[in-house]
Amino acid sequence: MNDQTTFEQVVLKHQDMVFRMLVRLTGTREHVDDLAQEVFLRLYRALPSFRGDALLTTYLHRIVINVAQDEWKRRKKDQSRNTSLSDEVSAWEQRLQHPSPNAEQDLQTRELQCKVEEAMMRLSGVERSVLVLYHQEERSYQQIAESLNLPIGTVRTHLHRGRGKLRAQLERWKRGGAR
Amino acid sequence: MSTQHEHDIDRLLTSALEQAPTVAVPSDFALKVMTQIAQEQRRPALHGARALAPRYGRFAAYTALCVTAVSLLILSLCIRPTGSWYVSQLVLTAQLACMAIWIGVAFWRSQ
Repeated sequence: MNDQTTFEQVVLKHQDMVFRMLVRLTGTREHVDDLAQEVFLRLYRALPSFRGDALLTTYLHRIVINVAQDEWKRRKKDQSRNTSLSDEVSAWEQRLQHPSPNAEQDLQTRELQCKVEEAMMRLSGVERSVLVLYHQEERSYQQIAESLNLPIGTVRTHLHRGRGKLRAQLERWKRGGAR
Repeated sequence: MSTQHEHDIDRLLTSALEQAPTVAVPSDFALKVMTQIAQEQRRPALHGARALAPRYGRFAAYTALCVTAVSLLILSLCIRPTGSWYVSQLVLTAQLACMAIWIGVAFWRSQ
């Protein structure tokens, strides 16, 4: 098996995770294909310097976050292309396809998910990354610390702070919805 | 705010965060990546090819070298080596030598 075939296996193995993370971190499906390609290209270019002292997944997470950060910067420059998930509810609804016993509950779940995503977009990049890695990708503090090149304590702080901000937003939304 | 309410909010938040978006990866995605990698690997070869593209400056230098050499030859054959002509010949010879060194060094560096 040559290098190309091996790398293709790597792409096939990790592509779902890369897409999932990019969709969550960027808050949109727009250009996700291109961003995911960029992730794997960067990984390929970086492979000669990959010493193997970290997991490939950890390395890949770092690249995904870097690509997402570049995308955030690009969007800041080009505000007209900035679309939040709340603006594309239909796309988000398409994304959530978990069956629910009743339609009302399903709708509530979708709405909640939508609000959480909207709130996520208001967090700082590092808080968003920590939350995605911890909750969605189920990474340990140690792995997140390695991916983001941060001390474990800082990771904990960002996680706590990010959750706090999301909780506050969710409470505001709940109070608003109860009226 | 009651602890129960806080707990509920926390639970909702955790479940929303843990709910990963469903993604549809294009079936040919890996193929696209591999194609792009292959294109990138071919790029250095293209850079190499570009280095072989015509270099107009070098061509001009060779032409100037030839013109100077011919001028020197004509001057030495047709004109008597008196004062000002002699100086002209010296200047041209110096120019010829400088150009020869310059082109020689450039050629040596390109190898």
